[in-house]
Amino acid sequence: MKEKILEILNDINPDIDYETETALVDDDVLDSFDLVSLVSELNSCFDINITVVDFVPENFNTLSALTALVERLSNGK
Amino acid sequence: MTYTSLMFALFCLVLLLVYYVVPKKFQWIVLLIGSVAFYLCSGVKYILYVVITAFTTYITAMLAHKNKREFSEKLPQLKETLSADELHAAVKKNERKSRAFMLCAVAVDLGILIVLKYLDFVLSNINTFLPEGSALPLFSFVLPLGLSFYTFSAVGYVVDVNRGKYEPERNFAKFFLYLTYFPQIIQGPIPRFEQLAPQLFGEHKAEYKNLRNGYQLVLWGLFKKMVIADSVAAIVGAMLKNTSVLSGLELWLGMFVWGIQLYADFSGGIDVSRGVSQMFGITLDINFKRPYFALNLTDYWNRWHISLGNWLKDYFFYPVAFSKGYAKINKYTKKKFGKFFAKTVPVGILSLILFTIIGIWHGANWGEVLFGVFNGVVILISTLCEPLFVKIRKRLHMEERVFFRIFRSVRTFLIITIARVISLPSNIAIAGSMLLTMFGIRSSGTSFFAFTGQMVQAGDLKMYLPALFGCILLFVVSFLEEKGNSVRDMINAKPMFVRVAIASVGTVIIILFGAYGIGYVASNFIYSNY
Repeated sequence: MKEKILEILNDINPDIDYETETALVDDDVLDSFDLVSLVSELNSCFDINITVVDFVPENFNTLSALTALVERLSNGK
Repeated sequence: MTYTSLMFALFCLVLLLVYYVVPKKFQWIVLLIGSVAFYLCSGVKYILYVVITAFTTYITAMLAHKNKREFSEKLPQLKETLSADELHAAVKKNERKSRAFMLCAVAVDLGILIVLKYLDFVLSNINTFLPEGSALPLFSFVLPLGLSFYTFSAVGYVVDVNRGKYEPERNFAKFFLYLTYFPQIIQGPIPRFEQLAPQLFGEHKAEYKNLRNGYQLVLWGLFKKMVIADSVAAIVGAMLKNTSVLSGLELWLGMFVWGIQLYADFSGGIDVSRGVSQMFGITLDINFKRPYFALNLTDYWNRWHISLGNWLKDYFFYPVAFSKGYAKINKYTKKKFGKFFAKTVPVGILSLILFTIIGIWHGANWGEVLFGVFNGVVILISTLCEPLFVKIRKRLHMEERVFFRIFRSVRTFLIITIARVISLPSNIAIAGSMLLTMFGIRSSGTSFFAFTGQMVQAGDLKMYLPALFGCILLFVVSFLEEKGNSVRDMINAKPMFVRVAIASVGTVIIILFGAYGIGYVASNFIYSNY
């Protein structure tokens, strides 16, 4: 799952080191257009529904937080 | 009572004394009394609107929360008695009920805003299609103080309560203080309940650091507002009166002055708000991050009136972008037109709508609507072209070059200046004529580079020198901060006598060189009554 998320992230912006980045949202590393693409891709790839309630920086700042979010939503289906 | 008036300074002084003298548990009541008194100074009857907004939002948020809480208490029992489908239906029904309460508040809050601010605009447009003599009457409502700021605060609050972000405030008086807190009511920043409420209702010691930093920020804000913005206001006024005779160069210069005036006025006002609030021990969000250093228009809007942009993203842009309807559109465009199109166009159109809303927020007229659309279109085009731009920049190794960074900032400033030409004059025909002159397509009867002097002569010449000095100082401070330095920390690291000297000189400059001269009447902030 983590590899697939990394692939989606690299597709959106390949110039970021997602393994070490800790503030993807807080530091505006990903802009609003990137974030909309990311959510859209994650929803369609993992058949989940990320809502605005899930859209908080803590869930999107790091690759591991994103993976945890996707895992949680996938298990809760 | 505007923030630059002496009356406001006395008001703050008295309130501060009372605030730090009363028992700490009553401090929020002092702020409430102060905020209500400040609001009543703008006109007694206008408080009715904010009371309606506050009461509706308070009640519906409580009902939405109560509905959710009662359901979650019943949930273990329902899980045992209902099938999975029935349980799912029950959950959805409960969510719809809570959402209905929320939408009720949103409808009332935004309804008041729309009627007061935009009804006349709609009616006057309808009237242009009606035969003479059958025009619909206009209402000419006087806007209550801080209308859009407290409305957006209220809407954000009820939406967040419904999202389960926090529990609703049970004390109506405290909630009313949150909506009407006097340092931010005139022009924001638009607060978030989870950040502001704990500070408003908490207990605060009189700390030297807060009083000192707050006073410094107030001084800096007043300096920007009175020494820069108010001093150059006459130039912009003269430009607007003489657009047909001024040369292209003069119009460009006049619009640059308008850009300086607008920034000094709005950011100065926010500094006063934040400084006053800091003296009460309450930190307000920053609303500006040196917007004229922005590298592109998106960057500019991430630095200008930040709280409005963030509010619109959180309560309009992302909720729509994450909706099922948007997902369907995205899927369809991906299938029909490919990945890149699906990734950029739907979100670009959404962004265009967001900027149109920003334009409408600025004022009920077609100039402001076009201002928003222009910004949205430029951002949409630049997003579509971004992959190409990135390739060019990488190939030419331009990213790290200083001159390229300067070029991008200047280009962004020029784009926003052109956008402002669209919204500044009273009608679009004048804006069109100004743009034609500025681009040398139309002649005003003089050459493009002619200097008629009509703008400069309109104001008091002795005011321009301090304003020029102010602009240079503003640029230096902004530059240092853009480089990651904190000018405040630099000043506070100096010995006490230097700090006192700076504060004293600053105070004297505002009194002597600012617009506080004989006959001066404190002017309102451009962004007040929004």
